[in-house]
Amino acid sequence: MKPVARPPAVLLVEPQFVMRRTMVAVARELGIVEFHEATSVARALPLLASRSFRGLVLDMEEGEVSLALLARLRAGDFASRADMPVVALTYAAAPALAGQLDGMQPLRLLNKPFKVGELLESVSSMDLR
Amino acid sequence: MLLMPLAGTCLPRRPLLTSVAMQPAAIPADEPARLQALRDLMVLDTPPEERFDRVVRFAAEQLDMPMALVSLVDGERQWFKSRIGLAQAETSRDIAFCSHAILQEETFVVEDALLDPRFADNPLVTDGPRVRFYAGAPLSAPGGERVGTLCVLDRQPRQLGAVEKAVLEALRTLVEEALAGQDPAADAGAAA
Repeated sequence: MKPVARPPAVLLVEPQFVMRRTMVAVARELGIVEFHEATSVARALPLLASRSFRGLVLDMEEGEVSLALLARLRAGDFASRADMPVVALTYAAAPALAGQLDGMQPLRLLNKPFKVGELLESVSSMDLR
Repeated sequence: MLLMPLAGTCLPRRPLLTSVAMQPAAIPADEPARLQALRDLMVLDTPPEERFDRVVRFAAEQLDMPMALVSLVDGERQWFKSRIGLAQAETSRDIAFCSHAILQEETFVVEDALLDPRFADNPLVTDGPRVRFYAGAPLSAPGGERVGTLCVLDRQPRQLGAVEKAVLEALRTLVEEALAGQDPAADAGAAA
């Protein structure tokens, strides 16, 4: 019997409960990715340290803390590859943040509020090697 | 012709004359157990709660719907634990789309009520909110009895895409958890 391929594991850092649970369930239902959940950067750090992910969806609400996580990722501090693709969830009212994210490629920006379908399109288009 | 009394607060309280075309839903085979399960939840006629309202708001926003409800189908009425875009707190069960939705496990969709003989002359379609589109994901009590729906409604005919259907069904799970007395948001800190 041929083993069923599991969808790629992607870490989702999103504090809003309803949004996070919906993203996880819809991605699972549609077989797009297998989201692993963290409610904050603090809770994401041990996950990033302990196992490899193929992608990261990161809410930027924590500002400098979120940026620091991205900087450590790009420096190769975690178990995942340093050039792991990232979708950063930002706010249209935070243009300065977008500027700081320029050096964190490969990275896509998605402004809140967005539809779950838009996020899944962004995730689907990532290079999830 | 059929005399159809209404219990909804904003719907006409006079008997409505309707044609023979409108088809009230069948009564589920497990109706006594279903009603007992609904009452055991101890949710009927309770005040609004944020744990339901935030899910209903999110459903309306994500699916671009003007109306969204947590509807519980009681013996003679459907009562709304949470509602957006609809003034009345309950309607007669006879005219409830949700009475049809609880008859099946899968999400129940009516793309254009005016083209559906079960609903074309339903007073919720011809009067009041003028519903054209309905999608309802059945809500199960902990024992599996289908006690109501999380539903979204529009005044325009439309279709429900695969992602939208998955979103509605994901949110249905959150409402079921809330009905069962769980408050998953309170446990969110442990979700990581």
